Amino acid sequence: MIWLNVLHMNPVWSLVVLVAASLEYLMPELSRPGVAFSVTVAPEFRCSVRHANIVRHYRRGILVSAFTGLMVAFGAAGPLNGWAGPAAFCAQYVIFLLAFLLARRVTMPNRIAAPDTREADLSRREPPAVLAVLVIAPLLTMAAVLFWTYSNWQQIPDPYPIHWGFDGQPDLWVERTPMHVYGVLGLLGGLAALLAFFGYGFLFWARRNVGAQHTRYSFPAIWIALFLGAEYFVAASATLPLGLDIRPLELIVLAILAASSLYLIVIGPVGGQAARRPDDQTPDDAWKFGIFYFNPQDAALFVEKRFGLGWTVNFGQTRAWILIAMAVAPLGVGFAFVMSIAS
Amino acid sequence: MGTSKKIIKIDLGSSVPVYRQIADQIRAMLVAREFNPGERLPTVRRVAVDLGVNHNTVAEAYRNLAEEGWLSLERGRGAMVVSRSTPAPNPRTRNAFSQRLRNLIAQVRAAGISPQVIRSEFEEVATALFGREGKGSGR
Repeated sequence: MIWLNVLHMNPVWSLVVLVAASLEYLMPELSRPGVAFSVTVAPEFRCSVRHANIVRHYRRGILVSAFTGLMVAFGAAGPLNGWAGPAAFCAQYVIFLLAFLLARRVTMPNRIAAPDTREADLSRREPPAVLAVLVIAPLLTMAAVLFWTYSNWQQIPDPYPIHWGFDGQPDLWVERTPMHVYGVLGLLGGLAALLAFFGYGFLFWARRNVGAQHTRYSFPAIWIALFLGAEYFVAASATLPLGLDIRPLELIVLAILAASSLYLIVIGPVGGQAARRPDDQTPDDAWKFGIFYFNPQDAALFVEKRFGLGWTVNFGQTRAWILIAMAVAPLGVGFAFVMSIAS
Repeated sequence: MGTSKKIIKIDLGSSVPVYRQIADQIRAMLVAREFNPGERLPTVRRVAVDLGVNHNTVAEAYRNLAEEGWLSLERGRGAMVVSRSTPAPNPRTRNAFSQRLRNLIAQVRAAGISPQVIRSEFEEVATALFGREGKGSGR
């Protein structure tokens, strides 16, 4: 549970701020040719002087956001105790949002009607059911750990380890109480459920691209690998207090994360695939503030972001809200638990 | 044919309801034997997700095709293509077909498409649907 320390590590948060700002800086170039700041435009518009001016102003905003974020992280905003890092991240994000919304507003007059045509390939099959099992398996593991913990309470170490160093040895303990033990399991379970939800959603509830030119564009597959890797890692973390050595799994997960990240950078949108991406088959009006997709008429639960990397939820679906609530509620409880320990 | 792409395209701005556009295109594939009896179509949810439309729209298209005898719908198992016996020709159906064809030709002629293009399109469609049999037969 590195976040106990990370919460107070301003250099780490500064790095997060810088990475986020760098991606946001590059984002206008990563969007599809027919889209600018989440608005459907003629492809020629992206090459125009007008668009270049809008991008220039947007990027100034991003530089201001990064500078502000770093200032907050290093204490320029007064004593924030342990919250300077998260506050820095929030400050950077709010300024980015303002820059984005401003750029979107000035792009609006150049908006054209989004295509009304949609395509689907009936020859493509659902992903194999074994992938669904792979997504659910870590949750079953966690349920088994929970059951074992309940039935073997006296064998749970006291004090109870909740954080491990890079050498694989525990370096932070808490008293063995039901709140501490089940709080940790609840937090990890919530996180694993959230990751499983996204992994399953990318597999079965996300729109797939059509067309021969997109066969190499396996963006969703890479995201699935990322989320599955993270889910297995979280589920394995739950077994640490029981004395199981998860270091081999850690290495595998790290390899998955490294390979996926490399793929995203080299072959994914950054590698020029953005220009070949097809229309995202979403109407402009469904993009609230250009960021939130709300379309009750669209059966897809996940759609590709118009501005940003990856996918976003279709907030127009009731099941999206139900599932998000189901996944986020344990996270909230877990976060409160971590805060109580940290204080 | 079994492994080639079977792409359907819909136009949300068209005056033809989306469920009919979907049913028409799948029917054309079935007539052209792009799907064999026993083969399964993708689930309603999958087609709806890929097209970005409501589940009910695709379900309606599948129901129409099932009523016409092309598909067998099994709850939880999707739609399976069934072998369909061709019904006996009916003069009313033939007249309705002829009338629709004339209306369609009038529409495209009014839109400026030349008779030569219309003829070549007809031949292309007939060849795709019926092969050699499509030329000069069917009377």
